[in-house]
Amino acid sequence: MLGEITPLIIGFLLGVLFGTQLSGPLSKRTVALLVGLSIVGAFLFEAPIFTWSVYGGYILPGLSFATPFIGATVGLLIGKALRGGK
Amino acid sequence: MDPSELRGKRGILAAVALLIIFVGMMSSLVKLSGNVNPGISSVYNILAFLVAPNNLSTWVYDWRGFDTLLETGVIYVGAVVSVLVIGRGMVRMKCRQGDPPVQSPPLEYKTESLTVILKYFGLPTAILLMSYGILVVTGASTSGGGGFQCGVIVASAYLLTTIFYGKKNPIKFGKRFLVGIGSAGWAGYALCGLPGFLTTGYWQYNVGADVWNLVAPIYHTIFGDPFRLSLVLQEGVFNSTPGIIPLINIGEAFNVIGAIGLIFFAFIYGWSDSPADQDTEGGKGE
Repeated sequence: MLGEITPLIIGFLLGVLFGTQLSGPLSKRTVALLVGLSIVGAFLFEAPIFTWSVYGGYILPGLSFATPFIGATVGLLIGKALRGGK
Repeated sequence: MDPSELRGKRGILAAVALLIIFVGMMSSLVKLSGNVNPGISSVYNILAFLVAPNNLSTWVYDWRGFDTLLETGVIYVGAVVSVLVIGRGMVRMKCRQGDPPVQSPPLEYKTESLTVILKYFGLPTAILLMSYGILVVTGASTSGGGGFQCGVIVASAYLLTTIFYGKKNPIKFGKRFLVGIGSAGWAGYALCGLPGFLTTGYWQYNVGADVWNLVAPIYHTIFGDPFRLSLVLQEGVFNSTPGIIPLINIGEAFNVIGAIGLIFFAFIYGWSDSPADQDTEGGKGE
């Protein structure tokens, strides 16, 4: 179902939008930390309810990821890189 | 704002938009006459799960509609009144008419006095908070999320970094951005009602979900399919779509970010009408 991947796309696009308003230095180590923490956070938040596919974040019963959270974090970092600064 | 700014293209656009919304809402109200169900809970329980797993979201946006939009309008009114009563920013406050302006001491933002943890983890924390806010709005139709909550969380991230970094705030929500995003959210919310009005005559009819089978299938494809989920329930498997509800939630989120962000902005940095200050913190930033 398309509804399983649309939140990821929306999260990414909103992340890029707000990321363009970010500034300030972020080292590569901090970026890696952010991506890592977003994966941990996505695991804790779990996939959206009634998501059944891998691309929606569902892997096994009890193991799923909230992909919009990861998409939003990556989007924020990309948006910041595009316009926000270093 | 100078009323003369509304002349020309801006004025025409504003007049056309207001006219469309006015005609749509009024004609919907006229058609509603005599067709109101005495209580909607029974209808709700039959239909709501066909729209979205999160029934609350269905209630708020599919049934209450513009009530929620106008509630966010209350925030804007509250912001204006608060600024008028308390003062135009923390930097310069007046006491009574005739009294000299009270010069408050300058805000001392000393980022070097922050602890190492706050200094280096403030921005990453704010980024994760913003991601969480975005997650919340994307889950509006499936979980306990929503546009209002998203707006509050993102605005909280903005306030957090303001407290940490002061004028060197890494979240550069300038005045123009906040006003723009708030306006876009409000307009987006209102315009989500247009497809329903054009096809059925009812403003904000959910053409994507279309629980009453009133619109052509093309509208299901455009507004419904991008959000369609497979609901596996004890009663069977249903293909459910919230339709325009996620889009309305995004509009709501933008609206709230603009409203609450402007409150923080006006209280912390002050306000300036100078065109040169539209992208800086009240004209006192860099």
